[in-house]
Amino acid sequence: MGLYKSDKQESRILHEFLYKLILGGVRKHSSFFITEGDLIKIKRICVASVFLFILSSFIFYFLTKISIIIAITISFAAAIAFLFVFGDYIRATILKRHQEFDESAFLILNALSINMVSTQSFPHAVDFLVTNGISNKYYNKYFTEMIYNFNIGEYEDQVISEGKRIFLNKKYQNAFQNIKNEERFIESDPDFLLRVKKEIKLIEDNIVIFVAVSCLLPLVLSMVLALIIPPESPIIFIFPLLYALFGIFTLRFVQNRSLGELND
Amino acid sequence: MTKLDCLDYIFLDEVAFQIESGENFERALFQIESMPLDLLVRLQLGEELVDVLSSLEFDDPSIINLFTSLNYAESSEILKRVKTTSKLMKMREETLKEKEDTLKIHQRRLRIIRFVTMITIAIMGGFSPLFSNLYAFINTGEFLNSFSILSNLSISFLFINLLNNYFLLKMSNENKITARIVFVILIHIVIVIIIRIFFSSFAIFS
Repeated sequence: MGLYKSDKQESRILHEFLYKLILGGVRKHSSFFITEGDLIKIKRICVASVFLFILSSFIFYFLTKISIIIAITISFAAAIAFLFVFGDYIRATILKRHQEFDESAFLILNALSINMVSTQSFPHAVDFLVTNGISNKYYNKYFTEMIYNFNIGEYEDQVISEGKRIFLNKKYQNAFQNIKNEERFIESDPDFLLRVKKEIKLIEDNIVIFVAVSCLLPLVLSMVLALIIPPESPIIFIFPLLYALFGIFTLRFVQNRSLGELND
Repeated sequence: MTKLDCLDYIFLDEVAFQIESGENFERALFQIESMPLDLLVRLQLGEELVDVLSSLEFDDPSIINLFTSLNYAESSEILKRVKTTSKLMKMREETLKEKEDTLKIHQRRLRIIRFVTMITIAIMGGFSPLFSNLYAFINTGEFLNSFSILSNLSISFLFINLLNNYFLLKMSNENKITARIVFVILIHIVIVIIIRIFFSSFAIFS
């Protein structure tokens, strides 16, 4: 029993490390949007990359008869590149989910304010919002619950002050708190627009380096490698793998920077 | 249902402007250019204001609600509420448009970069046998002309091209990434084959 427990603890620590490695800053920033399915996918990718490592070590070692160290190095690079490229795909999906949520927060608050002007009553405004359909499933569920709360006779102000927590952003929370005063709708640019602009600017700043590396790295490496190793050697595969890691880290760098600046 | 030929908030702005200059709600509608004629005729024939306005098709259905609630309101109240609604709608439309425009410019820029790098890498992939043969040339002093398409170097260039496109597509927030990647594979192979044909037409290599 004790052995089983420590095994479980070890695997938990391993999983935590894996999530930290793949999700990085996103784990803290978008924790609300990470589903159980995402975590399972990450575990599967990890298992697949271990298999890839073992399989490609065997293939390289037995088929091409190169030294075992080179075979293991190439397989290791391949497994790491595989893990990061597919892990990044999941990371990007989570970020996209968060971004869509932010964007619909603005649209929902705007629609609620417009409904408030026309109906002059908060429950009716919410009712109208839900009947017109909300595309985001989180909000849809949440506002449907809110209508239910109104129906069982909860106070309006209480529902508003409790309900603002669905908007994860302070600016939107304040706007929701002041929903009855339609003059006080968010005046500044909403966050999702700022995020898009910041990300574009970061990419623009770094794109020159990215393009230079993506054209020069293959050219230089292939010329140099062509002089020192035979063309049929699998060592050549190292450089697309290096490039994969380089690209993933550029993407992560841009994403992390834009996350960090918005948190300030 | 009759579609309005201007944006919702512009219509509301015009209503607000007419009310501000002293008209009442119903007369204000007659002054608005974008108001469809058949609806004005129905108004003149004495139909209810709300019924007539309900047959106008707005992008935002809450405008009908607004007009219904404004039917018997005072002018100052109508003015205030119409103005607030138009301001809120304008804010939403402008924000969405700004986002779309910014993204579109960014995507166009990245698309050019993507095509240029894609063709460059594919051309390098096409010339890769030259690099492969250098090794043999140094070792044996003889330049071979065995241009196999499926060399390790050639496959590496294909991988690099795919990865490069994937990263640039991710950076530009494009959709349908898989379809575009398949297209890249086709373009890459076509360019590589063209370069092989170009090679084989040279006397020195054949």
